[in-house]
Amino acid sequence: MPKKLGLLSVFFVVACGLSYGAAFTPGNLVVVRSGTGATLTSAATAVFLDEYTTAGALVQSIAIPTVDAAGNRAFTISGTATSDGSLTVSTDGQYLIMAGYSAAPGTAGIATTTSAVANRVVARISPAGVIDTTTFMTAANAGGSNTRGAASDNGSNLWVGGATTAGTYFVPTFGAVNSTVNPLVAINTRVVKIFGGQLYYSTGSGTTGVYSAGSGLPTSGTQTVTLVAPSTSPYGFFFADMSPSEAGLDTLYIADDGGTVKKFSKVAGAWAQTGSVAFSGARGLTGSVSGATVTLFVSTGGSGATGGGTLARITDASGYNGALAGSATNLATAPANTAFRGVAFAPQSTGVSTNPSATGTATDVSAGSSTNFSGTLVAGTNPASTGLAVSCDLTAVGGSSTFVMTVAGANFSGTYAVPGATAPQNYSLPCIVSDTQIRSSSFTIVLKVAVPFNCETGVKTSTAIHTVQGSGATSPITGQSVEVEGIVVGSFQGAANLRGYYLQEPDATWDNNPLTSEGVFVFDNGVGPIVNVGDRVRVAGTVTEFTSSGSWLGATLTASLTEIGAITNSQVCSTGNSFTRSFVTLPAAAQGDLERYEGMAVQINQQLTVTGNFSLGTFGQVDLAPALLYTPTVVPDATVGKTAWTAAADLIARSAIQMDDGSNLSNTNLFPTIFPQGGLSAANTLRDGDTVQGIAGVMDNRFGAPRVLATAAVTFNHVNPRPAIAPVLTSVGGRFRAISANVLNFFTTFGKRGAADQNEFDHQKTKIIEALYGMNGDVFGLSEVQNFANGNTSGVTYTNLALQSLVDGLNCKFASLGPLCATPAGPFAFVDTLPLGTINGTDAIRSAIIYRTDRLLPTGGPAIYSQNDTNRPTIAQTFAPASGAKLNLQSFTFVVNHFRSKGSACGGGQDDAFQGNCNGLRLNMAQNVVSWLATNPTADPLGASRRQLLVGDFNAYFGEDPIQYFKNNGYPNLINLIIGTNAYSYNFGSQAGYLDHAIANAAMNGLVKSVAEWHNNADEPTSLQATQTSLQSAAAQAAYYAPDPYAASDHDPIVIGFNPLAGDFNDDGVVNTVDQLMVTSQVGKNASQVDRRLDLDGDGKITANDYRLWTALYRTFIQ
Amino acid sequence: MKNLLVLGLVAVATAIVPAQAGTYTLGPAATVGLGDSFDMTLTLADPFAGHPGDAITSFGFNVGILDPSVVSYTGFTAGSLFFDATFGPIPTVLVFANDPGGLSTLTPGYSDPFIIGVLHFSALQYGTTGISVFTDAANDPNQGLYYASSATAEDFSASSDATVAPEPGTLAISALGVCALALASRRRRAA
Repeated sequence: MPKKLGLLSVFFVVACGLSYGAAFTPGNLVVVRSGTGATLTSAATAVFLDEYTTAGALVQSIAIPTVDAAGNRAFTISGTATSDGSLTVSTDGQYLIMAGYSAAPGTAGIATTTSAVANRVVARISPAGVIDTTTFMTAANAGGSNTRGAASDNGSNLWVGGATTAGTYFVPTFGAVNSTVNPLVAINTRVVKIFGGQLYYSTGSGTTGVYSAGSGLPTSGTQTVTLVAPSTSPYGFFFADMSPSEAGLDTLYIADDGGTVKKFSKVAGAWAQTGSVAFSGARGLTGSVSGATVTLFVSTGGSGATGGGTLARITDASGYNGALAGSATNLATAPANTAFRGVAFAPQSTGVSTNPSATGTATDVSAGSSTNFSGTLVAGTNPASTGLAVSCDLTAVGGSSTFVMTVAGANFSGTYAVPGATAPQNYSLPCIVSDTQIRSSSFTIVLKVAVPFNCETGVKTSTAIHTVQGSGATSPITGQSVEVEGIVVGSFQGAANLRGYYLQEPDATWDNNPLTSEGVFVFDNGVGPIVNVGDRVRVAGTVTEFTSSGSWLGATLTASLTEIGAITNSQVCSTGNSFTRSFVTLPAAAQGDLERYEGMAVQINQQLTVTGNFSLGTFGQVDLAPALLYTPTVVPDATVGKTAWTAAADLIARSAIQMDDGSNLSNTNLFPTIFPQGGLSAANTLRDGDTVQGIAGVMDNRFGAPRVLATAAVTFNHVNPRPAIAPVLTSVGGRFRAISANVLNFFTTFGKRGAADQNEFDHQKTKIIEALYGMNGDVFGLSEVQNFANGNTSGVTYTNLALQSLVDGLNCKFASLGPLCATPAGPFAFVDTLPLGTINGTDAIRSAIIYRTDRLLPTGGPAIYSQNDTNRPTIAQTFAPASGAKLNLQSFTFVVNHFRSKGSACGGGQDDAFQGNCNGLRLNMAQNVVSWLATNPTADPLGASRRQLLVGDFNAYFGEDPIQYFKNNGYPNLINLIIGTNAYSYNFGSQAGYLDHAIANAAMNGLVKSVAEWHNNADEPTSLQATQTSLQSAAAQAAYYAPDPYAASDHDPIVIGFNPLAGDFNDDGVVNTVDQLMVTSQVGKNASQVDRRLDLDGDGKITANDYRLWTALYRTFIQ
Repeated sequence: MKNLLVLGLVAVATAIVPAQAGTYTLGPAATVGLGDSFDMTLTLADPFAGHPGDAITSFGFNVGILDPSVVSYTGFTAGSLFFDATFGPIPTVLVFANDPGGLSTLTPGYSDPFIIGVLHFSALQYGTTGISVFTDAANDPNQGLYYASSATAEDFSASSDATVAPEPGTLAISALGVCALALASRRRRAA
């Protein structure tokens, strides 16, 4: 019920506002006057609004009611308080706003009355002169001291200021009693005003001046205040926006009753005073802006019994940031015994008049050519503009000060011929848009007068390329428009290539700083002429850093290439120019040192070795270094800070460079490659270890890599030809051969991790079988055989189909049929681990053992160790020769491993900066495999003297923790012992190393004649592998495949020659006097010079003691 | 001269006697004429004393001549149970048992004592010198006697004298040496 009453009362108030005067005339001034002509006191006093023309002629006086009537309240102010009675216009222009006291005239000491004695009240006066005093405050904190004025945006939202406890506050409800108000700034406020949608106030307390309160128009809560301009005793103030270039309100005038009207200007965001005009007791202030001229109206009034007051005008034509000077012109004075207070423009029902405005541009021009101006207009309002005109001052570029644009509707345009002598620079041309309503705005048009785009004739007019490049990794002038002129040292234009060319500063204008490159890439993107090496070309464009990421040396890195892009002009000046090539030698002095040659013509005369060819068939790239690079961790680093590995990695980074074909073509579009000469094919490979000498090209920097783009044909020397298997087998020898091989995700289920289709599978199987059979192994330890029937991880059913397919292929070869034959017949068989169940693991792949049943026989069944993580389970099987004497003394245990890869992070502290992701997991596996083997899991009949041979992909290089753990716990590393520093089975990040190991316990170590890696795979380009061919064109697929054992996998296999019959050095299956002579004839030699097995006591020498030991073997195996 | 020789032998004996099993004999002592060649035979008696059932796989030893200006060592002929595998200067002589299982009492042709071999010398000038065989197993894994059962070779030594003099007996002694050589050759052929 009360709520309903409230609504009714609002309606009543609005309907019953009382008119006490005639309508205001827009543009006139309204001055607050207190007093009726009787002497003034501090008691409540009647208020009048006097309307004057801007020339000072009194139009009318409107009396504000002093009694309550029809919901409106009496409205009075103090007769003598100079701060009472400030007057504002709502920012929509439609209402005058005042604040005062709801008390009868004569109420003593009105300013200090409590709310209970005199409610504070807001008066709102419409353009028609209707006075509304229905809004009043009963809140205690709104009383007790002066209430001086109020401001509003729309006539209904009211912000009141004064010396009350509430300070500056927001009135919650217009047209009603407000028992509470919303304090915003609890400070003694004088004048509250709104400009540009922001609440401001002036204060004479604390640090006196004009402040902004909060952000925008806050309605509740304590606000953060910001001092805009300090002033000794500020009252009224007026903001204006004078400069188009300074953001927001930039000019402020303050009426300071110390005797001046001050001007402040904001320059680059900082306010500073710019002049003043003397005016005694200045308090009320308003103004209007026309162009660069501000017309201010200032009022003052007495504080004594006789009152008094002056209304005056101040004209400031000094414009933005100009100094306010001169004097005020009096317009009117207050009648006797009355006092002037605030002043404001009359309200107008149609809203505020706005000035016309405009923006415009000019086309860039060279001196001597014409520029075209164009722009858009926004008409002024209230009233609407007619007769819009645009005039610009072109005196800065030799033209008229009143150059008139052609206006057509909302647009304007013009053409102006810039005189030939005009200096090249940017000009800011002042313009004015005006209408017949005598309103105007200023704006500027920026005209860029450029240097004429002419090739140089002896005098350098372009920016030097070394200036563009600077001495750092990126250009110091990125984003700037420049013209450069240089010699083309490499052209890779067109969409199939790099879409541009490399310019090198002419020799005569190089600087002396070797750190600043003299070359730069011009990204023409099809704009401009076709250029050739030796052309002198001038280019205008924007300096840009082209950043691109790629895999380089095993990490994803980002490169930044300085280039000239967004080409606006280019021309060939001359052809056939010579230029200097810079000589580059690797390794560089420091990482990133090749930046100094970015974009330049270079020559690399030293012999370089292909150290990576992973992207040869996909991107036309090969990675080069002075010698084949080896992964740092191929050797151990016992230092605390891993200083050796750090130094090795640094040397690698300084040594490697990528050679690119300069083509944008890749994958299906890239065939044939330009490297090697003749194009890559199965019959024309380019292997890691091959060499190249005398590269002429351009230094580039993209996709994370320092790159050289060859500009002349490159000839590789195939010094690392594909090795045939026969010499490998001869060098290894031994009675039996164990093989460690990766079968490259051998899946009979297509479209999973392995072959995508039957064709890929046939190719893959052919290559794998050719490689495996070629090694003539007796037992094979294989990695990456399909584990589950569905080809997935964690499948339901294990499968032997893929393993059987490999066995079939070997038996086909044995039968002298092709590897894909339908009727395999031979001695090869696999060890079936499926009866062991889920210990076969959850990965999509598993490890496996194949053996020749005519050569070896299993002793018992297989055993598996699973760590139940992403390490593949390790499988073991004990074998003995298929025939011979005392076979129970000839057993050996074969153990196949495939440890967790370095591919993705494991987290939890398992990852290592040098040893790769999941190093900790692999170390755990190594420890657990050693412990497991100590239990003799396969019940090897030799018991404590059993011989163990471990093979597989351990995903750890020799120097890394897992492999060192084996080595330090009774398992010497045969690859390291026998092959040593040149060993590698894999290439990652263009670095060679061996992840594949042959590891023996001490008993087995003495039975191994030799070990070899067959480099049929790791050195080969990835594209020659049988799988992952979907990114190749049909022509490439045909060219890249051959039914040979090369590129059969990504890992090189290991061949281990051994003889479980100790003492049988000639590997004929018996220990006899032939073997006796083999020992005695070598006595006195070092073990490294002879069959290493002769060193039976392991002291590195062949001695009488080795012979003594041999005699014991003889007696053991005497037949 | 005589004193020096005795002192030398004492020194050698102090070093090796405690480890030596069996009895080594180098001889006979010889008196020969200038320019003559002569032999001394190294014999081992009671080789398996303290090593019952064991086998011998090799002997390696050095030949020492106290006054090398009087006599020079010119070569070695292995006994019939052994073959010479001497590969270099140290040790001077290395012989392996013919039996691939090592020389034992079961080896055909085994006798006690047996001849390890015959050392050949040449007389260079008048005088007398001590001649010895000795070993240094601690510093050379090819020296000493290896029993099949032990990784530690046993040191051994033996010595004799040779005198080079212009005396009538020279011819007779010299002839004796030739006979010994002939005998050794014949045995080897018979083995």
